[in-house]
Amino acid sequence: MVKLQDILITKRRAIIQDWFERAAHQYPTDARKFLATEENRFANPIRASLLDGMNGLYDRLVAGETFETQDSCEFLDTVIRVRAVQDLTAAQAIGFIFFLKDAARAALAGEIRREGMLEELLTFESKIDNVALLAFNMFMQCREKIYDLKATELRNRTSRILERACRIWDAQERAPEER
Amino acid sequence: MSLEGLPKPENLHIDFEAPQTDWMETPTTFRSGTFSFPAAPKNIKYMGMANPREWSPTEEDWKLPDNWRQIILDGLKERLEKFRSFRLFMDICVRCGACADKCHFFLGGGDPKNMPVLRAELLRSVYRKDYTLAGKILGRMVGARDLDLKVLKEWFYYFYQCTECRRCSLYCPYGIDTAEITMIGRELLNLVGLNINWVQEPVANCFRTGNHLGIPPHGLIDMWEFCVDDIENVTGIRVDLPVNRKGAEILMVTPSGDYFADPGTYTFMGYLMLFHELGLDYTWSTYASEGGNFGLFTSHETIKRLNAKIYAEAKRLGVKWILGGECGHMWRVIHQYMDTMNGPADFLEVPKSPFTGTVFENARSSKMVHITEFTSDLIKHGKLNLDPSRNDKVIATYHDSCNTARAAGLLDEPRYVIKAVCNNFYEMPENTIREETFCCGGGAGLGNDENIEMRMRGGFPRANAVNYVRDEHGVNRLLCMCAIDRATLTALMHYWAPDVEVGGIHELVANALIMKGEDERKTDLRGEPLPGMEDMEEEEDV
Ligand code: SF4
Ligand code: SF4
Repeated sequence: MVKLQDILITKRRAIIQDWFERAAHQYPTDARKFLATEENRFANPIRASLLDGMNGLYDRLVAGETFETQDSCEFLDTVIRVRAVQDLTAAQAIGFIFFLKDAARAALAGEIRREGMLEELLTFESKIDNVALLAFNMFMQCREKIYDLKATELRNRTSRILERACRIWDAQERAPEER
Repeated sequence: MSLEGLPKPENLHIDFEAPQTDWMETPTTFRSGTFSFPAAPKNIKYMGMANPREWSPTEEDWKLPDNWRQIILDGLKERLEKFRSFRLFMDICVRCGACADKCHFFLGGGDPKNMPVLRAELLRSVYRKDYTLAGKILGRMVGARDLDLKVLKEWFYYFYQCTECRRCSLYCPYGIDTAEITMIGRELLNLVGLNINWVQEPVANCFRTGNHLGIPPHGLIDMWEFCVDDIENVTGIRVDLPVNRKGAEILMVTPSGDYFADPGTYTFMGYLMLFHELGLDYTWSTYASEGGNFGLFTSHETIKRLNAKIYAEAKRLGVKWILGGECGHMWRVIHQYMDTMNGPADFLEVPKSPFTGTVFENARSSKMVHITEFTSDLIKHGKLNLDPSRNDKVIATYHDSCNTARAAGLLDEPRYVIKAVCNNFYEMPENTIREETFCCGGGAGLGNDENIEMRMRGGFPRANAVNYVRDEHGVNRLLCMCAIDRATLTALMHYWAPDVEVGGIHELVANALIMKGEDERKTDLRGEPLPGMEDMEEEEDV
């Protein structure tokens, strides 16, 4: 009997391609063509990070891995980091992970019906849900990091010397303007 | 159960698509974290500039003068007549798109209006409407539009979302420099009081006291002396600190970022140690105490006003020539504006190294030499006693600052110095360094806290390349020679690559520099134990 896993291996390229295109639709029209075509990973880092995340997740899913801890989703680190600072809502930022379900169903519909692999598909899909939840944690950590940077980072960097200088020049006068 | 019976995943998709409108139709939204706060009225007033008031970009009413439109159109006309390059840039773009995918803000964020060609179109569309026949008659069909409030707000958002890094201009077959278009765009915005505090406050401070933080002379000397103390702790040597000394051979000017913030301070200590060891006849100045010039991010007039102090101070002190520290945009100003705006400095001599006799022909006119030119020449002539193994814990890569690389052509000198003082050096991929270097994402006044998300987006292409050398070679230090970089890259690395530290070049020079009569060095300038000295530290602690 054919297994879902085998078909996923055979159709890897097409499914990931479709998945990527769906994610690219989250960016404005004028940006999409570039995102999809420039292959150099340093000239097109958004594409590279998306594909790293997608390839990583896909291959681990196919290998039958389960995702219980955030460490098991290390391959999503960069792409989540990127999306946490882009013009996306939290749902949009994480949402691209679910697009794999669309892409897989579109590519596998015939086989699933013929081979009766519905159960396997559901297991596959619930693993995707799992990853999405972990990704949400990662996303929140990135956001916290951003707030943290905003609140303390730069001030800490200047404080050592500023403290010294503040003793000298009028601290009170400057305090309200402090950035 | 059947496949058809299952809920479809796409049912989840609420509002997943990006807006599919043409750029001109897509409205500008001021999302928190992606724009800079307006200038405080007192900082505008201090410079005698237009329309000081409290206002906020997220509010409907920007409190503009009633005739703001006329002011801008008149300003545009004036600048088209004054700057031939600007007129040319307005006319000759063929919209070939070669620059479109070269901007780090576009590459990190995906917003099409961050494509340089569209950034320029923001202004060009208005120009077209008023200055071209086709635009007057055909309007939108030929990409022309009226200057209305919507357009003005778009200008504010996107002209303060360009770091004037000039990466795009490198790829334009016509040499169109979008950074210059941004500069004019900001000049026009300034005419009606649309500016940002992170630029305007340093400008006002600098105009008042000579440096960005507004530190008065006695405060400066105090800060510098603290660095002298720190050096003594590490080396046992109390280095000279010549300040405002008339008759010195050389005036040293560096960005204030070198002495008010770590890790710039370590670079500042590096200069002090190097000059002391050489016995250089030089002086610092409490008046020309800032190499940086945020006028570059304001207007041509402001560049000139802030830059004037450097030659004036050189003249007052009677030095022969000027040496400049590790700064980025400072070098764009020195290289491209200082001589024509405030020169000729014919009271100075052509710079000549007192130790090697090398004449810096490239500075024949400006009379100002970059510190890595000076130091690389010393190293080349074997004038420094160096032990690079003291930096063995550092696995370095080098970030070319936009301005030193693309505007001043300083590509090989910094690398030559780094390789002489550090045994582990790895380049980032070639399409991300030298002329093609990616911006830190926080230049041109955008390196403020409130703009943090935009900075992280814009800095992503740079961080992406850093991550690559970190993973491939274990890189743990990102070197740069720019004070803005040292601040912005530090935050950038905290977000993207927390295990990579940021630092300047002369910090490593000073670590490696064997000084006459020094104590055995146990730590580097950061107070961290040198390789092989870890145990000694512990013993001392006991
Ligand atoms: S590369 Fe030059 S000519 Fe081509 S679109 Fe960009 S600015 Fe215009
Ligand atoms: S100058 Fe730099 S920031 Fe500005 S549009 Fe060009 S590439 Fe982008």
